[in-house]
Amino acid sequence: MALKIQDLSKADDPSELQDALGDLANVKKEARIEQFPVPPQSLVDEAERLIRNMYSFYPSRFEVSADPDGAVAIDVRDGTGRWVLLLCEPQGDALVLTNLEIGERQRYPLQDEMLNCFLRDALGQLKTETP
Amino acid sequence: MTVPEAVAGRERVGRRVSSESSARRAQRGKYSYRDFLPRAGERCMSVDRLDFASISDLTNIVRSYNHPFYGWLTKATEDIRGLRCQVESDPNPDNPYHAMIILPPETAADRDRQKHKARELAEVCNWIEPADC
Repeated sequence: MALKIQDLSKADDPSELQDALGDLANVKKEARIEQFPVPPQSLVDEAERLIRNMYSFYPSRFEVSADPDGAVAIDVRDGTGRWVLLLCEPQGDALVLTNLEIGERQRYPLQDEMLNCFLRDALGQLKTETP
Repeated sequence: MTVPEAVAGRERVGRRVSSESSARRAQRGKYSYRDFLPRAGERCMSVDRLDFASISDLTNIVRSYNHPFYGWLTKATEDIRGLRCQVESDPNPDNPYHAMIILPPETAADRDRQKHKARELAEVCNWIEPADC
């Protein structure tokens, strides 16, 4: 899929990234409060790398939260009802869920690549069609 | 008000939010898939039918359970059915407004599908806070 140049007016707003990283910093505490399995620090670190990569590709306010199964959830929406939900799972997989035409889901090992083609295409689809 | 047995498409149902962090997000208009996610292997989720009692009465019912409660994520039944989920009334003596959302059968044995469906359900909601009783 051909990707358009990102909207620089949004890319220049680092507060969105800081908000997402702030949520990530609290994700272990959130998991404890919710009585979910607590994600290991190595997974939180991996999630931070992912968030930074994703943000450079699609600058937006990501909702970062603890998942009931011990994953770190990164929810990306474009404001028109289209979304990508990325779950960084404790077993080392990334599960990408979307409501986009490219497909509903794909799982890949995080150690193999940070942003795989499916995730890049999904974010690219949000990017190219955001009004 | 009499509660009809069948849940009509135009009815609003509300999913209780028991998580403070989810409630904070909901106040910003960001609704979490977590609040529409059944336990692994299950397909049913409790909801309250919101159109037949006041928020104050419903709040009293929910608070009688002594569980954390911050508000409801609400959706129209027809929107839930549009996602291939069922909505069925399930009254009980404590809560005549109780109903169930039932996810499609293929989600039962597939946690990833459960989460996908939960995320779909969370996309378009409204947030109602409990009444100060």
